[in-house]
Amino acid sequence: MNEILTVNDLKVQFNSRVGGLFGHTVTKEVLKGISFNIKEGEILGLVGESGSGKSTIAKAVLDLVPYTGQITMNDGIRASMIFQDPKGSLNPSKKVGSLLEEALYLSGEKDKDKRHDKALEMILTVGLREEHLNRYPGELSGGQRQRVCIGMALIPGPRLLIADEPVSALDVTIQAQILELLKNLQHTFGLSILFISHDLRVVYNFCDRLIILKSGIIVEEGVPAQVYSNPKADYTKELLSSI
Amino acid sequence: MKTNKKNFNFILGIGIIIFMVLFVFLGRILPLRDANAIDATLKFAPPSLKHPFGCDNFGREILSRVIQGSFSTFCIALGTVFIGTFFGIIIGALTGYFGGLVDEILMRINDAIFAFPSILLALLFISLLGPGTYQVVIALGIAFIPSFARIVRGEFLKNRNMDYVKCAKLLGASDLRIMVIHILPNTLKVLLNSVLIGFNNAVLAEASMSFLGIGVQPPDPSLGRMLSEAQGFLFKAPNYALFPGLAIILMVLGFGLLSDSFEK
Repeated sequence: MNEILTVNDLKVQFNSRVGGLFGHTVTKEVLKGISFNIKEGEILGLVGESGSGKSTIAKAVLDLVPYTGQITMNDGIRASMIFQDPKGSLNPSKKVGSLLEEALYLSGEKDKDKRHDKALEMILTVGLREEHLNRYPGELSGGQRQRVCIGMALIPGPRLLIADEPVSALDVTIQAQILELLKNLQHTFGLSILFISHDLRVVYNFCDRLIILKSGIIVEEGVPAQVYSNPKADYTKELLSSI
Repeated sequence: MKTNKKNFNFILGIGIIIFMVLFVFLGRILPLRDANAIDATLKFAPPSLKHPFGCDNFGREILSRVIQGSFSTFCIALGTVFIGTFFGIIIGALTGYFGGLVDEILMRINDAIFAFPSILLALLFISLLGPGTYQVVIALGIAFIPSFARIVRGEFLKNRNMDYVKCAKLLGASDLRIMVIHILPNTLKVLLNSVLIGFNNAVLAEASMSFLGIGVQPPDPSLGRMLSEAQGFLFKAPNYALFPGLAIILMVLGFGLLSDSFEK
């Protein structure tokens, strides 16, 4: 299988000023040299506690933060992102229909009628109904909102989907439904998914391979069954015992 | 209970505003005497059927002067709020969205302007521009920009780091598109409230400026100047001060109640 994304020695640091006018700049290294790859059609789980730099990896891949090191994406491949809080990632003042149509417009669909048709098609693809196009995000449940987010993320035709804690804000039953939807979409569209989570239980059934991150360093890498039955790093053992 | 009170405020506010708008606009259609027509025989004529609000020290019809004065106050306040909101949105959006040096420079200028009472600042502009109706609109408009800029900036600052903006950025939306199409609609709720309060402040500021004699120029009527002229005849002709005062109170009250009912 081909690698769709290769990350080599990725380092990210944030500078922040302390002490006001006469203070000094403090540099915090968030990622200290991360290397991994994602293959075509693979779901890679990225597990770590909060502050371990999981989301920063996602942001670096999408070029939202300055970084050093190499991030290579295969030619012409687009990446989309799903955020943790589906409430914040949908504009509250726009109806679902116009959110999807705006995403279509930004992806280059300039024909209004076609935009409408494609928005309808997408809302059905993510398991909602036509009537949801006329609702505001605030009128939908958390699961429905995350479905809309997934729909918006799929519109540019990405080959790589970065999901940053996509189910953490949802009830357990809804979590299962969203994960199933993601799995189905991954089959239909041949997506690769970088699945970021702090929850080992969610990752176990969902991912093909997983990486465990601690304080900006990869401490463990492997297929879930092997990592679970035979963890190498102390930190992984600690994580597993806390389940 | 709380919602009931808000509904009451809303209905009363809308009612007063509709009444004032009808009063001002119907009044201009009615065949009343010219607001500036002087008739010495009617000097200090008390309210009667023929002259419902009475006549002033020049024998001018107070009713038509109140109508004309309310109309110009209304228009000046509208113009002021329009200038303030328009430039406030532009400045607030740019500073709030981009931050950094632009923000620092514009907001420090903003702070400096904000530090002056708006009426004092308007006085300063009037001394530069000269008195007159349009000058008042421009002067008050400029004085009102900082308060709107501040509110819009706060909203943009709050929204620019939200995930929906990141989403739009990832989809390839330009900064201008994000500001106008994505963030601006989310500031409208807060903005509407400050527009209403701003309108009230503009009415009061215009009245104060006319009271000081630097607003609308004589002989054209203005509520503020009618009040200042009526000062000397407070006991002789209380109706002279009463009606323009009432018009100001009703205008401010209507918009004040409306903005109260929109508050969270």
